[in-house]
Amino acid sequence: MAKVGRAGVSEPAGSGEALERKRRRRKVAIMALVFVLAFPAGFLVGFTEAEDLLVMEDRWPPALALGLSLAYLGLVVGGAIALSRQVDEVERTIKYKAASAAASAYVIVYPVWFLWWKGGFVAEPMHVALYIGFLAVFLLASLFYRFR
Amino acid sequence: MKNRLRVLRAERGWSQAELGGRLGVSRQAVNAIETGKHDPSLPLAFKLARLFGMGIEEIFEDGEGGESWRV
Repeated sequence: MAKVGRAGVSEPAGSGEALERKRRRRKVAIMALVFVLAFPAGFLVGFTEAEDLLVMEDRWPPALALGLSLAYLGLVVGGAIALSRQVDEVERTIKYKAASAAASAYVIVYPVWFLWWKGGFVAEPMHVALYIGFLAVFLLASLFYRFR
Repeated sequence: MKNRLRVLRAERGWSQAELGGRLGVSRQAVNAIETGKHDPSLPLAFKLARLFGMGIEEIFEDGEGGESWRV
């Protein structure tokens, strides 16, 4: 049988609240750390490439691109692993549902955009716009499932 | 799925955060289970049952017309 949480039924009142506060603080600390570590990378991009950030034909220095991708992978993968140890099953379910909604939106939007582009109605699909759209739907769906 | 979690928690004078801490989940998770927005996993249901010293079926009602704790 599954073990009861770290504060069982015999623990004094308030011990559960203390554990819950500790868990919440750990989660906030991880998110703050990811933000603090990501800030220099964002600042570097903004400082060096701000004028042509969304010009797709423009090439960045290979070292910058490689360094940023490594920083991104480290922060996203490391942050996700660290956070996954702090979130409970309700929050995990919300994230699964939100990811599913975002993937559904992508599956619907991209082919239609592509076909309309082939038909000459709209501009060519922009992967940056699709990526931002995916994140936006994920964020909105997360908020919806959390506060509904 | 209906449950008696709010009543059982109130009987012990625990807040949602208190119960969450004892279970290893957030206050929001306890609220979601109490209000029926989230059906707990089997491991979490067992944790709840053990914490309250009851059987799972004494805390949760499956709504399928089985034996019920409701009068």
